Amino acid sequence: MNSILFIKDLKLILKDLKFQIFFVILVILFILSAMSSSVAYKNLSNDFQADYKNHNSRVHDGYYTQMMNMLSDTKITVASQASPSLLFNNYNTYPDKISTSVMFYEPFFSNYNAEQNEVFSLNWYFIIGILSGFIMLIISFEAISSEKRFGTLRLLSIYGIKRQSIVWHKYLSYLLLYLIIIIPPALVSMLLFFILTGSWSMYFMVKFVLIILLSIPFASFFIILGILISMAKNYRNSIVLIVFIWLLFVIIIPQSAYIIAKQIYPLKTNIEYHNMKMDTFDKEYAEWGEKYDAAVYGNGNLFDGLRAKAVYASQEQKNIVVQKELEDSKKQTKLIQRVANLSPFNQLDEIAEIVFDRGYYLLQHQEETAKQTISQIKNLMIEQDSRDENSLHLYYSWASNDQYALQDNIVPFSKQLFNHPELLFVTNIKTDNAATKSIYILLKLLPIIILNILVFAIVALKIERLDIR
Amino acid sequence: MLKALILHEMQNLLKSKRVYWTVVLFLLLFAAVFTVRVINYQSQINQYIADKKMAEEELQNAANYSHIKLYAIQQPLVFSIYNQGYKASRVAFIQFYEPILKTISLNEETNLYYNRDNKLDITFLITFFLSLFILLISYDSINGEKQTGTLRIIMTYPVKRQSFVLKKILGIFCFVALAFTLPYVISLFILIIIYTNLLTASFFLSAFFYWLLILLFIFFFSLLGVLISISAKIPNRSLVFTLFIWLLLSIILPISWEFILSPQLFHNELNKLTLNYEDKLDQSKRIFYLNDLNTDKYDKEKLNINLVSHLVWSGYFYNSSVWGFDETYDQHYRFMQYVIDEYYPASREVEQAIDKLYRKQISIQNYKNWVFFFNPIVLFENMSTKIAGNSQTDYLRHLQDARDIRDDIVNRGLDEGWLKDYRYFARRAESENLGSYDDISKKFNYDPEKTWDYIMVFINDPKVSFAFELPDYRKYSQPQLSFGELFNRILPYLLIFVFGIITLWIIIWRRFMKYDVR
Repeated sequence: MNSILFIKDLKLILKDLKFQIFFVILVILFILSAMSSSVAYKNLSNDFQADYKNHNSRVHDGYYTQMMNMLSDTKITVASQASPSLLFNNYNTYPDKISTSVMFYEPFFSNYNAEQNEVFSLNWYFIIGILSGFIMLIISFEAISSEKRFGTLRLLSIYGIKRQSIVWHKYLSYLLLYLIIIIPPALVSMLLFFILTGSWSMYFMVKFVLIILLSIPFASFFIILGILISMAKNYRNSIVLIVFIWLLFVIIIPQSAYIIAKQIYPLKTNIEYHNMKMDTFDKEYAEWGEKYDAAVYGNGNLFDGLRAKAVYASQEQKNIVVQKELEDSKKQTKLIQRVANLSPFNQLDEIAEIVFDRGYYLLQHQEETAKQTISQIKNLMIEQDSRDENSLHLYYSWASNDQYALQDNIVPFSKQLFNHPELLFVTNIKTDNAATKSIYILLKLLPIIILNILVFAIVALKIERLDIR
Repeated sequence: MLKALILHEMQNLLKSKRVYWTVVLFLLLFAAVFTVRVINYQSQINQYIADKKMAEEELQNAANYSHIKLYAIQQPLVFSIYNQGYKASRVAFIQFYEPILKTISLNEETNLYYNRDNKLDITFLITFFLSLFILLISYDSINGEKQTGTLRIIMTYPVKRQSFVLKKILGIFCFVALAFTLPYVISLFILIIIYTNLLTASFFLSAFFYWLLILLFIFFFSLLGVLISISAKIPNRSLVFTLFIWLLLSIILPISWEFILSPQLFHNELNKLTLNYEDKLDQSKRIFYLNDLNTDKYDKEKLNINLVSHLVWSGYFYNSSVWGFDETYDQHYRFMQYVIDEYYPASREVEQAIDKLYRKQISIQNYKNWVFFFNPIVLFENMSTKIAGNSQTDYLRHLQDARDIRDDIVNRGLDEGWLKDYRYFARRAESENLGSYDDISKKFNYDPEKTWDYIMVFINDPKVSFAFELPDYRKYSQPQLSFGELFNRILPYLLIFVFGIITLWIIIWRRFMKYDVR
């Protein structure tokens, strides 16, 4: 009897015009998203290649890899290549490229992605996350009320079928429906994307399948929410409620997150940070000046590298302010995420970031990589410099400026070319291993699973008291 | 007769619980978005005041021409509360001969990790929410009556079909128009009270045009809702159509343009323009840093930028003493001459190149309007930015203003001569000749401490310094649009809009005449 109910429900929905129209929309969107993502992928990888080529030509020139010039002029880049994960999301909310000087971690963030003006972008996140939530709500918001309207609910209860099992089978059939409308067009879209870009990768195919599976609890939440709404007295009113809930999750919560975070953790203005940096620098430099008298000013005592040391110490102090600025921004960003995560759509996006190694998750690891690379380069440079007899071994950013005042082939720091130019452009960013990642993902899934159980419990309670006449 | 019918229809609508909730939700959203935007605008105004104060202070502290830091600061438009428009920083930094290519942010907060901007404004509320709400109110206006049987009863009365459908459309239109106009007018009053000093005639013009456009927008969607209701047999079906059409118009079509059509059509062209701009920029930098020096015309040794930069760019007087004053002045003269002759034209070309790129982007936006002539959401979005005065075209105008100020000052400097001679960075009274560093040292028996004490007086005290006259210039511009200009900006799109409405009207008319009321 139960299986009959289930199959009957499924057949009914498949015949429904609502379902058919939405299925057509989904198929079209999936194909369009493959096309648009392939365009983005090509543009992005071109940008990346151009940047890499530019870097290589500079390395080839020799100026940027000469160790003394590296002290003040060379920037190291930590960037991530374009990957098929673009099919899921464009991830332009966070920067994907970090450049920093060799001396200090003073990152300059930028994006290969061009800025887009639209609130939504055309990719899987939009379809699986945002749109399918809407579709599941629309499909399920009449689940109980239509049965009640046509009197079939009364009929079923006469047959002795438990009310909860009616709800349960409706839920299961909708869930199956979700997989039916998502998986086939998604697979087509994935294949189309790989054909268009020519970037076949088994690794990413597995990830795409994984993300579809991970989206099930989210779809389930909207289905059960729809069923709950369908128990309202007037079904025409519930359409307004559905639209409002969807808009709340899609637009209102994510868009207000930034505004709320800005009020709670306001940042200082650009000028204020700039002045703070300059003041700290000047203060430290003045202290050195007092300590060593005029030796710090002018050309100073070049052979002791006193001036270079003073500048370096001041820059170190300045860097503390830089780190504070970064810390402030990070604090605000985390709050933005916390508020935005009240919406299930954002939760799914965060899980996808971990699955695909993108977005803020990647950015944190990029920062870690950048810091490690800096210290690695430092050790290698000092080691290489120690073998140079002409060098005064002054590993300070200002030292290169002192070279003109020195004589007899003596240089503040070695003028040799750095032996490891490949470290200056890092694309291989280490993220967590699979086990750690799965723990993270499970933790991130926890809220939506709890929400599912909660709404389920309410539905189970409500259906028992429902007046089915 | 018609008035009574419309009133009756509006009363009917109010009785429906669905409509009631829809209106309540819309009003709540309007209030929320408006509050958020006002808070945002207030912070913008605070930034603007801080920017202006900073610019004034820097001018006050300037002791010579080389110290003048000019900023062209655009006052944030009050109307941006309704429509954010093209987003860019407001401050254009003006240097004597550098190209002005973009604006910068000074007293703004910037989250380093988070790129995304907030996009909630009243325009978004209208295009996204109001369109949906109108459709949700009107999707069962005809077939709902048919389902309940009232349509048949009405048709037995001596009521013409035309006047029935007219009543339906006008009833919905008037109802929604009222539901929008009320909060809109209240919000305008609030703005008039809070920002009395900042309001200009162009604000009221924009507000009026905006209101007119919204009425047209509401009319279009009322027609669309009624058409859907005529086309589908039962309300349930028309609900699905409604949602489908809304998704198509508000989300799918705009994003397919942004992510598929536009990149396919214009990417190469934009890329070419960007490359051209980058080339020109690179070229101008090479000229400035003497990388491509025409050695027949210029002697590289005599154009040593380092000598000049010690004085001009660091802003500290004593650095120049390494080479002595006279030598530095000569260097400055030669280098300025070179800059005016060679670098100045090159930097103009860079400006033209970036303008070309911006203009292309603007024309792509306009192109979008023609492609989506049938989509009121795209049309409304574009038109509201045009009338608000914060479109990309206005941004270009702001850049142009900054360039005009710069050209003005450079020309003045050339005419009056201070740009190229010692007065550019002189910090001494004109009558008094400080002489070279050696001369001063000699005065103090080569005691460096005393020498520097003497020189520092001129550095620290502007009053002792060479007195220069601040040139007057336009500092803080705010775009003012006239009625004619506003009208011209939107006229073609307005015509398309009206054309769309008439077409819809005719279709409804013809379909309802043949409508089976059973």
